[in-house]
Amino acid sequence: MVVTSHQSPSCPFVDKQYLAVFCVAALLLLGACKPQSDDSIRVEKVPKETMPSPVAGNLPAGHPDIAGGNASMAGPPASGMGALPGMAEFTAATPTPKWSPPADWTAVALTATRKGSWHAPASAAADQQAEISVSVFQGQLGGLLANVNRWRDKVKLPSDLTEARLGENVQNITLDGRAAQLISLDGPAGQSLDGVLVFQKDRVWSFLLSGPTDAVKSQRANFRAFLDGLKWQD
Amino acid sequence: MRALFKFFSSLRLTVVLLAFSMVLVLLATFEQVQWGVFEVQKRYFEAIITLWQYPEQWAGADALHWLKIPLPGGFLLGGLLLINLCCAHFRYFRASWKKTGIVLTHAGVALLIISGFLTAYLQQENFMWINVGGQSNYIESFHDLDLVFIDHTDPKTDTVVSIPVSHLEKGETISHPALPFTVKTVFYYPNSDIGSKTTYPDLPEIPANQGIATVRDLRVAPVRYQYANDAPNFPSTVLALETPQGPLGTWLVSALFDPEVMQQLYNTIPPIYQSHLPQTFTVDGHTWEVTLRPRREYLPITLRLDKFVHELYPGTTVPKNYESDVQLINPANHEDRPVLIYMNHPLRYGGLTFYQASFAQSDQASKLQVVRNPGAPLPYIAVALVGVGMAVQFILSLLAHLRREKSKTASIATP
Repeated sequence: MVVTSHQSPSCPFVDKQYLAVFCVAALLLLGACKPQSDDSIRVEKVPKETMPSPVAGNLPAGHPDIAGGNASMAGPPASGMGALPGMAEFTAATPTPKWSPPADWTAVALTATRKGSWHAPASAAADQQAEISVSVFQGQLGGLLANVNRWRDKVKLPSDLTEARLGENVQNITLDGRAAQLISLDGPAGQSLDGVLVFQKDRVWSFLLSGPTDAVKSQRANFRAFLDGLKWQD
Repeated sequence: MRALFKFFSSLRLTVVLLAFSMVLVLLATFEQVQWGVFEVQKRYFEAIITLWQYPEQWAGADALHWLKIPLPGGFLLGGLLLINLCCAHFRYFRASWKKTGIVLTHAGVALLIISGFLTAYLQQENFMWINVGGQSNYIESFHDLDLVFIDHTDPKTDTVVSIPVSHLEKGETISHPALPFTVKTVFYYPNSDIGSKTTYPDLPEIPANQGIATVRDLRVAPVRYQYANDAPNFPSTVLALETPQGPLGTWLVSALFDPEVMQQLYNTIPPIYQSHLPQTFTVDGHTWEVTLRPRREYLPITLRLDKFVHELYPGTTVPKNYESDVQLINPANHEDRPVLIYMNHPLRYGGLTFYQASFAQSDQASKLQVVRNPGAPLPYIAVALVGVGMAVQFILSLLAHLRREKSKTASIATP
């Protein structure tokens, strides 16, 4: 076929219109053939590696403490392991909700993932204490069922709850306009727990009242009042 | 069909495509702050369509962060420019030796675009760390990770089974003839942090019953994946291993347990990990190690780092020179020779180019960037073609002009 337009002189070797179609098809093919990252499992035989053994021992002077610092290899598990950047930064970067803890709650030191932490006595005379904590985690922490079972295990209840029976333990509530799940558990060994989970797109807020049953029971009203007065800032 | 051809050969299309290219390059440059070079390259240039979102860091982001604008990606623009160039060439082309320069220039531009595609398709970038006095026969990927099982039983060789982490991301149960067990993914975090129970008292226990997670009662926290160029990610996974005879337990495996990672993070193996790594188990008399590490490619050559030099300008902390004095050993052809690798003087060997890239551990380790790009010569050829084409066209035009002037002068001289 010959294009007769005076602007488009004929070319004896190429049909221009088909050329255009060919080029478009080639482009689409090119895009479709973009190799993805190799997904295949590889098996190789390699000479025994002579990796230089990393120097085991104490950290350099002035280095931040890691993993219990100078814990002996033969000693008990190290109790303090420094957090790498990431989780603690996420917690620190997440705005803390506005709240008004009851007067008899005593603030205690925060850990890497906690936004708030308090101790509360069962009564003025009792020495049993309940612990209240507010934490925020990146991701979904395994979802609602995994967390309910984890909390059930914490108070020595069977942790084999299934999705079908999840509703027996969970009460849907609202925290400052956000949907939340309240889990109230009394264990057989004198431990109780009231936990509230607020699942958001990229994070989970956890509000936890836990401790001896008497202490938890005496603080349940305070805990609910604390939750009702909460104002989100994120 | 004719309308299609007219459209693709239109010079207006050229202008529109070049305008979009400029916008794409500008926005992608801004986006590098948030996403880093590698991610931006994938999202903006190695894509047919890209979706630009009003950046969180810009003024008015509170009101405008929802704004998303689809844009043609680099592959689409490059492809269309190539088609446009070809169609326009054939539409306006008249076979004549006077047009030789234009043909060469067009061929050069077309080759430049094609070389861009080839680079996107074929280029691989890896790295190699070598300690002073040490040696290495493998390169590692900057971005791809593998779950690796190593059979250490043979006294001379290791059998390495490498499973891309994409299988773990999909939550697959993995089986392979080379593995006498199946691997089930319990969970996989693309980036994570690991700490003790004291550090993370609110994190759930890891569902692992074997290895370091139980010995040290570790907790693992998912952490947001980082895209910035210098921000590393440390994936972690919990795996359930099972043979036909029964389970081998569940194991926490993390890139944070990789000796090279720990070496670079802490310059040592933290005491909490000592004597618990590497994690090994035995199946049918074979000892297997499990680890998560950057994807390796084993090379037929070995590089031994004899010396690393880090020079500063006298009296300052301004770097003057970095160089790695390596010994290249290739048993296949009995090659054993010294090579000096320093800035702008890479080692080119077997299709790979080894550049001096970084150093660590108080100048006791050198990092080489290792690039494989079969299309590397093409941009040079393309630019040369464009240069020659322009020169030829200029000379031909000049000669034609001189001839016209000469004949004009002659016609004036002979009334």
